[in-house]
Amino acid sequence: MTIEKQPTGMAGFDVISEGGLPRRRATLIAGTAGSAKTVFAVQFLACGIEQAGEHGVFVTFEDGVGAIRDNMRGFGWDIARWEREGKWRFVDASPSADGPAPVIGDFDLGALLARIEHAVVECGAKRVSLDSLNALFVQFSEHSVLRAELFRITERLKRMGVTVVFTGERTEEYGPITRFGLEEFVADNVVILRNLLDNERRRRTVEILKLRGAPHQRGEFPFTIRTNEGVVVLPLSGLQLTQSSSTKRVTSGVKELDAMCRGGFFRDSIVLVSGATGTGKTLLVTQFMAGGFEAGERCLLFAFEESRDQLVRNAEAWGFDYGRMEREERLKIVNRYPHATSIEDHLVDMLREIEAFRPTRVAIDSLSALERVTSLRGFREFVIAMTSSLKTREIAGLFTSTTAGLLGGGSVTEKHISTLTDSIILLRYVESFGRMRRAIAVLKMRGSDHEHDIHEYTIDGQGIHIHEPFRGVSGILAGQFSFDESGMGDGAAGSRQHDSDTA
Amino acid sequence: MNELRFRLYVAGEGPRSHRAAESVRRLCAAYGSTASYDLVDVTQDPLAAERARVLMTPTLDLAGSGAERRVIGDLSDLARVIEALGLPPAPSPFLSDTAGGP
Repeated sequence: MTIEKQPTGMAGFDVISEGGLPRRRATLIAGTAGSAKTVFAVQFLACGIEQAGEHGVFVTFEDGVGAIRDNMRGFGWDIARWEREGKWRFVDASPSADGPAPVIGDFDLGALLARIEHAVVECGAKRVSLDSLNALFVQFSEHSVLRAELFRITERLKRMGVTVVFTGERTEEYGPITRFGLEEFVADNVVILRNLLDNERRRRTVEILKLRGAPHQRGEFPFTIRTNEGVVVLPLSGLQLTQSSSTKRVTSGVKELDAMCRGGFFRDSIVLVSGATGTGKTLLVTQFMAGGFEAGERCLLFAFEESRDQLVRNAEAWGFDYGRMEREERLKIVNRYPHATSIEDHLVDMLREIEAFRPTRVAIDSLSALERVTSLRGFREFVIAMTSSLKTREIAGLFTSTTAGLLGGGSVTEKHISTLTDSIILLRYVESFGRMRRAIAVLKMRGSDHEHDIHEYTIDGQGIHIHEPFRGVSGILAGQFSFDESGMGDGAAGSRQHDSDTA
Repeated sequence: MNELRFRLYVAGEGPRSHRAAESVRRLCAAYGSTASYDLVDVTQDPLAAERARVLMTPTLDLAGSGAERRVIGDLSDLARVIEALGLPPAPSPFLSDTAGGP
């Protein structure tokens, strides 16, 4: 028997659950305090109303009805309006201010069942959320009665054709599923929400533990809670790390670099540019954008290090007119402060920008700035999600990464993500006989031959100029130079005087 | 003495509902003509349960007294019911001596 799934309508969750929650089943949403269980339970109903025309009943055992209406308004859910329209019904089972009534003799939850049934019939509900059952267990010590009765209620609702979500509290992130063993008797399916401290940063994840008899994706997926949206799951592991498949080339914006790459970057490839501060990474980004603009493309720049005005001024100094590109609406500069939000939120924001602007090339300057605001794992997930999103849309990507030292060395960033990008371009300082010179090399280029020489380049009012290969210097990439007397000095000999420090 | 008006919420007509109703009848009898009760079957009138925010059945409310004067269960121990509801001592003994409990 195949289990029919009901799309929840929750962004990302339907991807990891491969279609939603099993219809006419009960799903436990388990999580520690503050893990967004209530948001999930409300959102399950809200999405039903907004996207599927399915009405819902919300049974609250914990928060007051008024508090829920108020707290959920920030997510864009106008519960009071839905109540007026007959799409949403509350069953208020929150504790009385006077504490639980004394129990004298046997009891059942017959009144609760009758109230829920009545609400379901009255508004024609297809979804019911119960939040959170723990409150009942804390107030009443007759746990075996509560368990049996909750089983009776969920079975009844399932027979009425209703899909049930109920929440339960956990005390540990990696301990027993719930405090009162709710999962064993009531739940067909179990979803765990976690709220972890990872490298001093909050990291929220969702894991589908079981979806009785139905396929789903395994493991933990990060999610974020967003204004006007609620829970947004990032279905990262579901993404395939595809290699670039296009054979179409696009310009890097630097003619000589195109030649080093044997004809430019691939249309759907991701290029990482690594270099110390001042080597010209932002300039390369500028030329990448300008090259796209001149070819009639649409360019999107995510700037995490410099303000838009600063970027426009820099571009001007190198001879590129960002202002005009923006006026013609083929360049968009999105300026964000890396610490302003979590990397998951940055990712969602950026993907939405890409969706809205529909660029053909995207630059991120710099990835290193984003790396500082997250854990290694969060960072890798970000890069995987970003690269695969760009590739599926056939967008050329250029990301910059700042090396820690001035000479040689790799950045932390590239160590962790070099396998995720198609091409790596190194920009390095070369110290020779009392002068700093600059070197560029194409370290790898997936799917194509490329030049293996390390070239000298200079920067002036027209941007980057790549010259002849360095001769007679070794150890440039490592930053430990040795020279042989023969070849020194050729390469950039003639253009030294133009070298400016605008990089 | 003021009148005592009880409301008993039960779900359906099972043995538990009958036991609770019987307990309330004996309770009222012990208070004589000053006490009365009405019976609400929540399966027939779920809105009454909704208005009074009753979850468990049986539930006995002392009418007009608010939620704090409420007991849950089949009320097998009337002495404890009287104590829990803060009632004055019953003027007459309960009809059945097995009902009062220890």
